[in-house]
Amino acid sequence: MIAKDTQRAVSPIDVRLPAGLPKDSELQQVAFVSEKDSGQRLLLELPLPFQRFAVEAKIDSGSTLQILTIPTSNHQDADLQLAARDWVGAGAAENKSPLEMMTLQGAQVFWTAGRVAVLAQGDRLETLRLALIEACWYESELRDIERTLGEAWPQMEADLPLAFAFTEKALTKQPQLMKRFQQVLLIRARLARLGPQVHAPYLHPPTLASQVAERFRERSRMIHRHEFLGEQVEVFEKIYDTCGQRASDFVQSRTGHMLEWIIIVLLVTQILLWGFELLTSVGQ
Amino acid sequence: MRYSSIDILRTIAIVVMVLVHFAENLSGVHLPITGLGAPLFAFLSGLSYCLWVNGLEARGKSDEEISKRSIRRGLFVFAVGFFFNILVWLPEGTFNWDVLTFIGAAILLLNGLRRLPLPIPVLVAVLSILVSPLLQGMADYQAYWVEGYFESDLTLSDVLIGFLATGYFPVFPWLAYSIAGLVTGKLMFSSSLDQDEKNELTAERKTGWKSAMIGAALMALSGFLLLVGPSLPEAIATRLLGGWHMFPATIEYVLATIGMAMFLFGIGHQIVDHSPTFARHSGWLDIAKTFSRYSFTIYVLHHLVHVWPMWVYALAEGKEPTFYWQRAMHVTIALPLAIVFLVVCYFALRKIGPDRRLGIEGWMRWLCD
Repeated sequence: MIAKDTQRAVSPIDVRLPAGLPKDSELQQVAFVSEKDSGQRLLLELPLPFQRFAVEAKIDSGSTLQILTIPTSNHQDADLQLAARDWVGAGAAENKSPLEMMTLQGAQVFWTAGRVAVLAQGDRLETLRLALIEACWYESELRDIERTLGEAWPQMEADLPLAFAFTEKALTKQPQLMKRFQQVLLIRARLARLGPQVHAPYLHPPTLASQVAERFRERSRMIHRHEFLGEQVEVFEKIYDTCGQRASDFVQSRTGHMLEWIIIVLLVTQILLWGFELLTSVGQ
Repeated sequence: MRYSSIDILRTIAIVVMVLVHFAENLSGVHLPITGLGAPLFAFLSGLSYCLWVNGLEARGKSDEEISKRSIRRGLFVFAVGFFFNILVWLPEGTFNWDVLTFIGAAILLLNGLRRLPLPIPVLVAVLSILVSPLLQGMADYQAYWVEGYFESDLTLSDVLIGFLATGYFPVFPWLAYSIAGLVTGKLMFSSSLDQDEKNELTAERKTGWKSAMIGAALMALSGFLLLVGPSLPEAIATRLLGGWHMFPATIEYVLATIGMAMFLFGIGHQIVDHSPTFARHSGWLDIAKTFSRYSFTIYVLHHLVHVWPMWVYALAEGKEPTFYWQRAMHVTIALPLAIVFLVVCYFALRKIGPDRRLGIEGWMRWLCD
């Protein structure tokens, strides 16, 4: 299960703390697991439908998220910003994903897929970190669904003809089609679980953490991405649902045809025996 | 795709037939391997037909086009069978229903069966095996066989009876061999919609072992029937079973030889087609490929080479053309002659090359494809 949990992990590139940061700066590795070990430090329990826990992971463990917290009274400090930006930028280059940034009420956040750096006053860092861990999980879920659907698109196009007509040769593909339909339904379920988090209304009265999370959703275009994914999954669902229907109809009619053919073959055999008897009697 | 295992099996079939025919027609000696070549040949005709259809489908040919080609090919082989009978066995042997006329008819039937769900061809094969003793009994099989050779009157009923049940290679039960080949091929090579090559290869391998196991089971069943046959009620023992005979092909013989063909192909496919060790023995595989490519031509040619000289020599001496048949020479000369024929044939065919323009196969392609 753990292996499955960490399969979306970013590659463990340069997990050292960047040089020139204040001494209380901290680099934390976060893994999202479905079952937490007693030895793991629990950081956050995600909402119930996800059945996931954010736990602190060991350095170089290939964790899902690396989060760098830099306590500072001046979040506009150019050197600190550059260090944080470079560190996140290295992750962005490695994962080929964009580097995003936001400034909000004395906090500066840089992030990319799997890597976040926060500059804020020390007493605000913990709540910010938890808010960002949660937001990053939702974003990584969306990204993973996008990747999965993107990879499945050519396969779905190859399966498209089977939504129109099912043939004898396609019978060998029936288990694969069933598996793909199940995967699409699982993706639909994942999207449905994400919905309340992605579309959640703004918290009132707002806090810095809630605002950072909301801004993170906006900057990551999570609402739109969620809607687009919903539309894409609908296409997949429709095609694989039709394939399943066609396959089921084909199997049913095939059984009927088979029985008809069995009767035809038996009748032909009877006619053959009868005709042969006639032939032999003519011969005699 | 060309499968070396099929080339090897077809080479074995053709070599067995050449040796058996030389020994039988020149010396009147029945070798112990008599009756093993033709079943293999008939089984491989069904298997090759399946691969040929798969190839056409992969090239995007329509079902109608495949049917037309199949019918043309079937009729071509059927007609060549008649020419062969007339040329080799003289006009009185026109309707002796040799293996070529059977394969021609089988191709026509397989064209109809290939589109049906697999259980239907299997049912047809089983029925063709079970019905054949009944047909043989109804026709009084032995009345058509004089001193171990088929003879019939030139009447429509006798011709049809010979074609269906009493000839050398009648449709019943020999159709079962071609269907067994077709079904084996369909099970093993028809996963063209599976794009995952690794999965396809694994499925092929699994079916290869299954084919070998089913073959072994059929041989075991035949052995069991041979063992218990005499103790069964007389009606079953004599009318349905009948011991080990090729003429007529009894249930035991058909089960054992279909089993042998499936077993050899299953094992051969596992060992030869997927093994890099065998790929290194390309010399042997080349020999097999050469014989396999021209098996049709070799089948006709070897008859002309050893039968015609007997006819011509007898006529030159003013005797009946068949005077020297089965007494032309001792088997110790006939068998080396068969080997010489095979060696000469190999080098001649190698010289012709792989384009198959000169053999009967080439004519068939030119006319039918």
